[in-house]
Amino acid sequence: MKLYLVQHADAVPKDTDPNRPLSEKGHRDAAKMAAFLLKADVQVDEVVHSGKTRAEQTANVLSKSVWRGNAAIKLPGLGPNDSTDHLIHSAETAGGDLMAVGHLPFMAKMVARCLTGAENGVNVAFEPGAVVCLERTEDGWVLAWMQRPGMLSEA
Amino acid sequence: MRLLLVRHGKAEFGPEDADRNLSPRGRADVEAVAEHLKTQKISVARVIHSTLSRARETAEILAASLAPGVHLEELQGIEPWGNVKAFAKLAETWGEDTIVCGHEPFMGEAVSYLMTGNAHAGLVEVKTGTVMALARNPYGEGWQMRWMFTPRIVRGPKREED
Repeated sequence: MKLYLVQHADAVPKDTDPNRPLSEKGHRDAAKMAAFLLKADVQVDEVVHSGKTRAEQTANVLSKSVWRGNAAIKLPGLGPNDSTDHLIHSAETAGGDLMAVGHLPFMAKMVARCLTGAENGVNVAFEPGAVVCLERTEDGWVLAWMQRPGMLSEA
Repeated sequence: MRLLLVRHGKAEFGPEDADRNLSPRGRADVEAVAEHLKTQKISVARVIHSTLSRARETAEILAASLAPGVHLEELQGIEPWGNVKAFAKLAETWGEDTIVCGHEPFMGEAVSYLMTGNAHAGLVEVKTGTVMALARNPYGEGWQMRWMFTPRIVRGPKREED
């Protein structure tokens, strides 16, 4: 079972648009990541997002590659400062592969908690649009790979 | 300084463990990873490998793409059951971006130790040909994971010829 933890791609500042949709760079980065996931043959059973515009937009771009283009689903408890309890529970009972698109610091805490049991137990370098793939093994969650859009060439 | 820890590609079976070479699939995997890193303009100043053939071969393939002309360095103590703490101490003295080609369980334990101080934290699954990039943690002690690849992620699904 795999859990893909994603930080939403780059968004416009609050004073440009209070809803903070993806910026041009954010759209570009999300598309690059979607192309990478398609090439890597990543498929999931569900894509969820926090409900914020920038997370929903990112989730829907990635969903085109990894979830047959289904519209990503809003999941409560994915806000920037929410407790990680809810997503941990969802991931462990999902019975399939799950992609969750949200925010910092939530996603960084989630990675650390899955890998070490403590939300500050380890540090991975998130950036907007980054994807971290965790895999559930007999010994718990392990880091399988992580990729940042800054490293990918244009599709 | 960036530390790129690599597990050797898939190797042939053989009577003498230290002399086992990469299999055709192992070479293709490492070549794909090298190509992928090159397209991302990753380069390194030093390329280090263990005393075992399969790690040296892996280092040769990566060096050809990412550090052409660089002198490969053999390092003792990073064999499968090498000393992770001694290696961590050594790596902390390095100032240049460096590739280290080695083995499991050493590489997984090294990453766990560098990132958490516990070699047995079991943080990563290190399949053959995996590359893990670490840098000093900007927010505290130890090291931070920057990115990580497997050959499978770079090459896509398994193909007939594999």
